[in-house]
Amino acid sequence: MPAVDAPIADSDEVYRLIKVADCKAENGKWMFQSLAFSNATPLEDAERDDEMSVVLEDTLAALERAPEDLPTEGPFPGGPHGWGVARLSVGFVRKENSKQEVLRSPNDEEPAHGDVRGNKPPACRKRLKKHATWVIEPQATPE
Amino acid sequence: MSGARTATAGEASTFDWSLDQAESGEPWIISLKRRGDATSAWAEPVVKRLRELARLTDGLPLYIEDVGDALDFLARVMAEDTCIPWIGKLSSGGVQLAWKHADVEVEAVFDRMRGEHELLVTVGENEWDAPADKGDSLFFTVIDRLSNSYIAHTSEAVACG
Repeated sequence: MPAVDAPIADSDEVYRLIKVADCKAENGKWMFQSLAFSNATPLEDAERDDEMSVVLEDTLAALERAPEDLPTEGPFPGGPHGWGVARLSVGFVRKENSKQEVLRSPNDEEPAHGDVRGNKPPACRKRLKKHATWVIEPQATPE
Repeated sequence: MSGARTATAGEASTFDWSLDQAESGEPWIISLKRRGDATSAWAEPVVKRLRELARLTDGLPLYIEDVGDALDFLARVMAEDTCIPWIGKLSSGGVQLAWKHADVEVEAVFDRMRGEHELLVTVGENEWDAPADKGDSLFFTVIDRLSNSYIAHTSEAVACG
């Protein structure tokens, strides 16, 4: 498994878990919206407000886990059917959004956890949305 | 927080809304009250969606002031024939509105916690932005292409919100 300070290649991908509330149902499919690529809002003063959680491809592969299985490896609120996984390339995140860093931040729940650090104003989130593609859509049926 | 807000969306679509802190259950309630003329067609589905978002338990609760800002914006810019936007809740409790049809995309963000009040309009590869409270004229540049009658006459006749 990559060390916490190991470099992350531009050619790698990061995976973002996306809930159905952040998706629009269109023609029977889920379309993620740009707010799905927002930074987390800190619940405590000590937490940063400029990080978006992701899962790192290289660590996930080293653990012999597949990104499409991430929703079922929860627990996530509402259950696995309400969550999909989108992919972003590390190179795009760094170059197209020049103030973003991709960091390893393993924790007890997810050893492949990472963060995309940097402010993400609406235009940045929109670019991330445009670039991202589904690995697996939420399995919940769109109304 | 408790209080009442009123907005007027054109001569034929005057309506009131109030945002009230509930005693229990939903953190607050939006209620629409007819006043004179008919309530705008968009108001009821928008309020229904906002109520759904108010019940979400992830992130911070929907922020009542951001809801008010979003409703104020809609009341200013929506015409009777404008399609209803998709509405989402930011993790900060803010509100995002989004329209998309063919190569036209519009996003409006109301997020006091992060200091974001922004309107983004994209047509093909061209992008414009403006503060949401000063973005009405920018929205009006594409409003015809977000009308239900326009969408019904194009090959991509899908709901745009």
